[in-house]
Amino acid sequence: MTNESTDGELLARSLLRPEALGELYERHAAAVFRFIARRAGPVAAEDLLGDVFVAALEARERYRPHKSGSALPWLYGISGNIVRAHLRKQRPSAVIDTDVGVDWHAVDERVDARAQRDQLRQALASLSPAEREAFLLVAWERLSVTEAAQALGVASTVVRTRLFRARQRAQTFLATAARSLVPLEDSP
Amino acid sequence: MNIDILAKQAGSVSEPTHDQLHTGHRQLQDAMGQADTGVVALRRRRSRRWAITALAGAAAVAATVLVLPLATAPSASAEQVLLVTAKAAGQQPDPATGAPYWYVRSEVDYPATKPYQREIWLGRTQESVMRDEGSGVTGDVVDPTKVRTDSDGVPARFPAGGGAAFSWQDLEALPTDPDALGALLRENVAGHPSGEDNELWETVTGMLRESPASPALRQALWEVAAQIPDVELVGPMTDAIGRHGTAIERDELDQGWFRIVYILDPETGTLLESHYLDEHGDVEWRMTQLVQEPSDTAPQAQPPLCGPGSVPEHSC
Repeated sequence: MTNESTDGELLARSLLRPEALGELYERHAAAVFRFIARRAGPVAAEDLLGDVFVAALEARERYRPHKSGSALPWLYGISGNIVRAHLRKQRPSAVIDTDVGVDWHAVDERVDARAQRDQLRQALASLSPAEREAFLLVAWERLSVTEAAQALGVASTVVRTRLFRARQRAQTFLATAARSLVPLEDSP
Repeated sequence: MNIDILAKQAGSVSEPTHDQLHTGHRQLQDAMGQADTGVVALRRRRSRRWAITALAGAAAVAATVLVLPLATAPSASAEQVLLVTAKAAGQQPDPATGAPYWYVRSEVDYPATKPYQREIWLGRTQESVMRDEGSGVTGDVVDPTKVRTDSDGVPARFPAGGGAAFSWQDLEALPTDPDALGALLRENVAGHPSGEDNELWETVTGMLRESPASPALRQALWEVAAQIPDVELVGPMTDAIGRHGTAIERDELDQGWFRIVYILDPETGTLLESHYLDEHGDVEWRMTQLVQEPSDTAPQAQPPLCGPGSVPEHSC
């Protein structure tokens, strides 16, 4: 397999030569690892990384190339399913978001200030699961709207609306909802 | 605090080590070996013609989607309007100099709601304070008449592209030569997944919409905007409160975003209104800038509901 092949070509070849997935692993394993580590921590990422690529191997006939040429959005879609399935096996907890697939313990370890941890978690909690998932794909994985649409299996217009509303709602929340209800006229 | 900046910090993880990637590689190799056995058996059962057809078909799909839209040259007309607007902006007085707060009042409208008011007091060294009636439109129970802190105890921060942020002092230190300013901002937006031009455009118009940028910086920002491609002149347009201006638009629908129309006042160099339109031309969001001016004071902000400084102190 040559390095010049696009991801789409690799996956097309893998239909008859499954070993082509090895090259895809070389290209994208680190990014998929980071995707899982962001949501479930590095230990889970090490455990689940192989599952993602084995699932990709089994699903390669259903792959449809994206105009970016990258299979990463597709791999992120698979990764999201694997992380959700993993978290659903954990003991139910308020800090595990099984709708989107985020263990907030893992996120909290990366945010120094307690106040900021609370702000982020609550701001994202003010969104619907679909808005939250779209926002995190763009904010954390730096996907474009159309790439995020491929990862989620929905139209890009749907992602755009979710993303736009997510930003507006989260920003409004950060500015208002986490604050007290003391009326303006009662202020000193 | 900006949600994008907050999320970026929380999304920062270490690069995996070789050992961390090794286990998954072994797992995949085992699975590929088993899949290869399956493919060999399948080949024996099916004709060679089928395999060639499948490969050619998949390759054709891959080749087709690699064709990307070509960037078009900037519209000279829109560029002229932006440059005239820039020059006018540079000739305005600088009321923000030394001001402790920059006050912005705007009207925001979503399609399914009535327009509502948003006020923000951006703090130079004090925390910013915002009153946003928008919490009502999303069904939240917060009383929109309340004033609350915006920036968690830190002074105002202004999105600088690619998740970076400027302080008020940073804004005052930015170069006012458009080439230098453009180069600096382009470093921030380099490699942005939505397109560097798109992110640069959002960053520049964001600062023009709501920041204490000096007249010289505003002029440079408009001049940077004039260098960004794919901006079209729409023509004369009246904003929601009846002010006459000139509209330009930037179509980012092909990036999965919006077609964005801006109404400018080329005589004062101000951004009057922004419309975000979907592919049907329906307005998804509108923001009309009503007032931008310095302020010596800001309303008293309330303590947070929970966490440090809340009364009574409790965890969220």
